Amino acid sequence: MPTDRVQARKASVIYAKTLLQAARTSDTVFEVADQLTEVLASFRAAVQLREVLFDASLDAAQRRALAEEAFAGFDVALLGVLGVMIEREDLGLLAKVSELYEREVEDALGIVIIEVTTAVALDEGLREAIRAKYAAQFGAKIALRERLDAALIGGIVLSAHGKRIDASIASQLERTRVTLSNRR
Amino acid sequence: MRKPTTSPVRTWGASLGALRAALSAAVLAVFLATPVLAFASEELAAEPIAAADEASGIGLLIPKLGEWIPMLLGFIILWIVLAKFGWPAFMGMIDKRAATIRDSLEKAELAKLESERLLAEQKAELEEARHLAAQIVADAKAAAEQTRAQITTQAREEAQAMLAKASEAIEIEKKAAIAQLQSSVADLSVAIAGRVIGTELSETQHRAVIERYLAEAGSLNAN
Amino acid sequence: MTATSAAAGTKASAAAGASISAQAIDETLRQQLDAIRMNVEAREVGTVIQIGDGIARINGLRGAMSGELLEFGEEGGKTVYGLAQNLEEDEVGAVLLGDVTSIRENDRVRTTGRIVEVPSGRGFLGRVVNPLGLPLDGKGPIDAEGHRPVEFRAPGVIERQGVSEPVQTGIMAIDAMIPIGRGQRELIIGDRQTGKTAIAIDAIINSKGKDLICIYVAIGQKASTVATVVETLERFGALDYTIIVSASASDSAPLQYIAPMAGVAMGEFFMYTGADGNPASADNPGRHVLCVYDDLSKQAVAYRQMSLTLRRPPGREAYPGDVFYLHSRLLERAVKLSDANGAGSLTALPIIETQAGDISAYIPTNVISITDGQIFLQSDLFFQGQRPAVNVGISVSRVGGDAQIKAMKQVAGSLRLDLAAYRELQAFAQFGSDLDKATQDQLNRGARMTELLKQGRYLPMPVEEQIMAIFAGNQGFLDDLPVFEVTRFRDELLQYLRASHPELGTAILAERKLSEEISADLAEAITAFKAQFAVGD
Repeated sequence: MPTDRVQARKASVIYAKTLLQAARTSDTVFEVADQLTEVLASFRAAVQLREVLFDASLDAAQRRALAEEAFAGFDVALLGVLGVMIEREDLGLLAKVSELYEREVEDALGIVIIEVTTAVALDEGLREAIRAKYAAQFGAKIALRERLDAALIGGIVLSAHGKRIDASIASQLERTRVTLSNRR
Repeated sequence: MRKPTTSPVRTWGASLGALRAALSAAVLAVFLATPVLAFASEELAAEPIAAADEASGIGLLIPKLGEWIPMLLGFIILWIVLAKFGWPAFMGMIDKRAATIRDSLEKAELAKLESERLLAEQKAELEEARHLAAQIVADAKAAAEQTRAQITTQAREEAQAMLAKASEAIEIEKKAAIAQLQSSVADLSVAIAGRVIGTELSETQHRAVIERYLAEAGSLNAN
Repeated sequence: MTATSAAAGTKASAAAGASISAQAIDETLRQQLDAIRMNVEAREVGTVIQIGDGIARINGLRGAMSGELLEFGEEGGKTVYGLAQNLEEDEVGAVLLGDVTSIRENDRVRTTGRIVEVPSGRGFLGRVVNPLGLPLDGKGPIDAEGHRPVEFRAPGVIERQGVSEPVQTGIMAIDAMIPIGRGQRELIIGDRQTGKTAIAIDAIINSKGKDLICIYVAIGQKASTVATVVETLERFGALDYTIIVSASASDSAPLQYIAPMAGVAMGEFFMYTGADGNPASADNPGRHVLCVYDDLSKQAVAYRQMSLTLRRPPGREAYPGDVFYLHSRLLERAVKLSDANGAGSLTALPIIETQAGDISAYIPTNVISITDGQIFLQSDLFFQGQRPAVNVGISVSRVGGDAQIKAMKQVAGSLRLDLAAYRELQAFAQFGSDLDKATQDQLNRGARMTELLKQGRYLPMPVEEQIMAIFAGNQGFLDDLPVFEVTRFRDELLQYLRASHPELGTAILAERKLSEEISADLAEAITAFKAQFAVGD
């Protein structure tokens, strides 16, 4: 159903652009991006939430209220867009919207977002090193989205545009373990 | 062997012919003599009368022509009748009997021949059977020898295969043991390493590691 | 990654040779630690959106290839492999090849840049493995000589040559009338319980000492059935040259789906490499392989399940549209390679189970049209005591005749004619006995020939003995025997010929045809045997 797909894409673009505009006015562009990923993750992992939001026996207003309750404290613009999506039964587009939103952000601000996960917080020198290394590759300014994860033990994990470089000590150790135990 | 048996038949046939000739001669003689005897008896019966009538001696013996001609006629008629009906029947009987005797003699001869042939055949067969038996025994011996050799080699091969399998199994066990040991050593050492690194690394060391890894890291933009 | 694991493999074998000592372990560890390198290349990652029914839907992975191997799970945790199947705009549908339960939504998925490969090599002979090449028989890890991709393009016309050597199954009915050549694809088809597997197992057992590596792929069977097959092969010493690839009924549909491809890939390794481990060429001959897929109907069912859960549109009998292609590309990999490519061969014996003898169902018609002939097994023949229950009337082999030895061709020709005439007349025979002498003779001959072809399980017959037995039938030596005595006569005759006239068999094998002289000697020997054969009651 190509027309369906094209329409879905168009709708997703509209949602993403609207969300970006709203976020830019309230200057919460990156927060919204983070929250959107969070919504998406919980939407995928929590079966009950998904079922409730798709439940046809509840009317749109009820479902919207439920969603607002579940994601209380999130950006108002995001909640608004989510509400519309629920009303129009467009929640299936959430992943697409999230991806398009990040793309729109990058386009609008002329940057590339790189997610950096480390075991200890980065210092300015490291940030600069990362920016310098990847600005050359992407030919754009680099924005870092930093995360801390002690499970990495050490090292760094970088990801952008669906690509991921895993240079953490945890994965090195795992590889070592696999090689040593000669398991395939 | 054949000649002496055939000759009696032939002599018998010859003697039969002779007998037949003799018989017919005798019968003829009897017939010829009959009227004379009849005359004689008549004469004897008529003698007292003739003696009384004309007591001439020899005249009594000579048949009178008037008597003799009907007698001869009767005789001839009897002869013809006998020759026509009696004689062939009689001769037929004789012939038949001769033929039967000849046949049975021939049969006996054939049976004898047959039995002799069978005897020869059986002797030959016996010989052959003895031969065959000897061969079968030889064959069986050869086959048994072959089977024995086969079984021996097979047993040896099997034993060897079993040995090989057993050593293979031991090898496999050893490998498995090594692999298990290896993996548990690896698990343990990695776990320990993780703990040690996690606790021992200082902030600056962490940063140094990150810096080093970052330098080695590849492109994020390549396809 | 491959380099390191290969290095690790050699190290492990080196270690296995030495005795278990702390020193050996220490040394191995050191060597392996040296082999570890930093891997900091960027890899594409996606996220699991949905998981269930053995399939996963993944967001992202734009660069994934169809059939690519995907790695599920965090690198620190347990890794499960999957196979990219549906490539859509934003997501990838993948089937999982391992423990489905350890994967959750939002887990990361990485592409590997490889398609699924299976290990192969001589170490696998005599082993029972799963479709990924992992041992299932508890005999420890297997050292692979090399890896082969599960999906591989079949060789083209130039790389092939005509089928010319026979695969002797040891079953008279097949070797005489439906001969199978090395590199052929011969379908074994029939209802359940008609002896399909028995034919394949007989063929494997009879391959002993014939320079043929056998691969038995069990798809969707009971594990106990597979165990019986393994036990049988072991009992007849056939396991030493056989690999058993088992995806039993309890394995996931994707595993059952790739099992035949994994089996053929393991076979291809032997065909494309010579005995010295280098690629096969004109002076490094490749080896000969026999692949049995038992059975492809179960694979089709597994593929149907996979496709339906991947939401591909169902077609006839709910099979996906490409089920024909699935089987044709698998069977097209059966090949007799040209001399320049090492002249190796891969013979495929696919098995298809029909329902109530219906060969016009979707999968049977597909596979019949792909293969170079079929062996039909019928349950009514089976219950009439005609075993193997091969219906020689509708079984054919389209290329195997070229692979028969001349002597067999000589005797098989008239056997085929006799049986054809017999089948034709059989219908009349039921009307009564007022048939002319010629017809009765033909019926007689046919009945005895049919009887002659009966053969027990696991009793394969060498080709020269088959020839001698059929010769006896052709020459009318059986015509005056009661039908029930024919098999005993045959068995005792062959025993007699083996013991008393071993030169006849060797002469047939040496000359490969029945010369006047051999025929005369053979007729004489049979006459001699018949004279001593006592007909019982």
